[in-house]
Amino acid sequence: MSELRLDEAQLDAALADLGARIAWPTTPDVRANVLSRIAQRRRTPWWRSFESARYGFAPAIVTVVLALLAVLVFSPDVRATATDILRLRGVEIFRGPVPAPSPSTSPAPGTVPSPVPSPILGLGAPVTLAEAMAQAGYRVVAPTDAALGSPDQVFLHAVTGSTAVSLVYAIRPGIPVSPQAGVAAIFTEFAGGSVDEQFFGKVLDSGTTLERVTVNGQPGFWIQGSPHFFFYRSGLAGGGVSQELLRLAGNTLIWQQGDLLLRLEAQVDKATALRIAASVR
Amino acid sequence: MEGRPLEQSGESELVERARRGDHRAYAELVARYQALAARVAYVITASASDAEDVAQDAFVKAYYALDRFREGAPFRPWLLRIVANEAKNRRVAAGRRPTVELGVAADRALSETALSPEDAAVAADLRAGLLAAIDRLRPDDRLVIAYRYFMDLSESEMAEALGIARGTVKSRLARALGRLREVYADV
Repeated sequence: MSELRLDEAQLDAALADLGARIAWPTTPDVRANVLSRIAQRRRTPWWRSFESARYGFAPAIVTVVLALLAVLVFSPDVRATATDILRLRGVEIFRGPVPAPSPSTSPAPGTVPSPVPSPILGLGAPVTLAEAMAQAGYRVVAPTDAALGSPDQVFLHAVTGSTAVSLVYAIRPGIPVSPQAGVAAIFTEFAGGSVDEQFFGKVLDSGTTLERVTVNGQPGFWIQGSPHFFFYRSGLAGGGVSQELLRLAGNTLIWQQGDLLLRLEAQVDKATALRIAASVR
Repeated sequence: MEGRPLEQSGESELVERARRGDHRAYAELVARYQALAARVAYVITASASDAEDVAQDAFVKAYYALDRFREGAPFRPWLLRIVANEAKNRRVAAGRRPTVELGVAADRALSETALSPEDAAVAADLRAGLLAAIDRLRPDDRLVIAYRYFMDLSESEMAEALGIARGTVKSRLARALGRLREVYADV
């Protein structure tokens, strides 16, 4: 117990006196450390922060994630389970058979399965007709014949030198539904392509016939039977030959209209196909 | 202005140059205030090595906070506020009740020859008692007293450094001194 209580003035004077006498610890010059830390932080890219001990577990996690992805991508069984799970979680991922390879449209290995049942796999991304018109890069045309009416689905996919627009007609009275495709008709168009007879020689197997036709005054081909693909010359400089998959494996009409190469796949007779083709605007 | 040696440059000029990325200008600011920063940190953390770390961290943080520094405002109290925050965080993280090692330099050149041996002994007792009392204060009270008596901050600088309104500095100090007197009487 101190004998005397200090009054304010005494305390004030005592503290001022004390302040001049305090033995502060000596502090080393921190300039060099401060400057080097400032410089380091400036120069350190953000991803380097993951190299710190704090994120020492990061490589292990990345490895596990990559391994899981690889399993998902390359193992159909696991992928099936995964897509089922995804669907349960509200994500619509349909699983369909792997599409028949088509050089111009074949999906890269590991591509997410198309959200569309098998027949139209590979037709590309589902879009609205308005989106297709905006993105095609040419004036999109469509059949106006009452037998088809408006398309049920529209797809966009890249072909050599252009963007293909496909209009899918699911069920139409009087047009049988393709057993392979589950749809009645597919109308596809893209710019710059051209066909000529010699390309069909190698493609047509027995039971498939090719007939030269004229549609709206322009050359075309009527293929009856079960063609699976056809060759065409792309509109690119040099005019390389590309091939397109025919999805209905049925009667197909292919014709030129201006700069566009059009085709109609449908199990209809030649007269009906030509009538529909003539209605394209 | 730019041609003048950094050592002779004004504080606001150094701050402005540091803000534009001039590391040498900032080094000069560190040189000017590092001892003060370490003392403030020491008052709060009660550890010399912690105080050094705190000072260093605070200068790095302050550098990156320069964009938020109000142009023309005094740099010293702005810096001390960062130092004090850093020191409090360090103290909380360390999780220990500080036992301050504040002491009086025995070989201090301040002469007490004017005092009789008896008076000198009384003055020494007073100082020791005050230091012991200060040690027992809460860090906030210690800081207010240290700013006023050990670091000679003005009232407006204290307000800025403590992050309080200028009008409340006097009452804050008065309360801290009141508690110091109570504790001193009990020592």
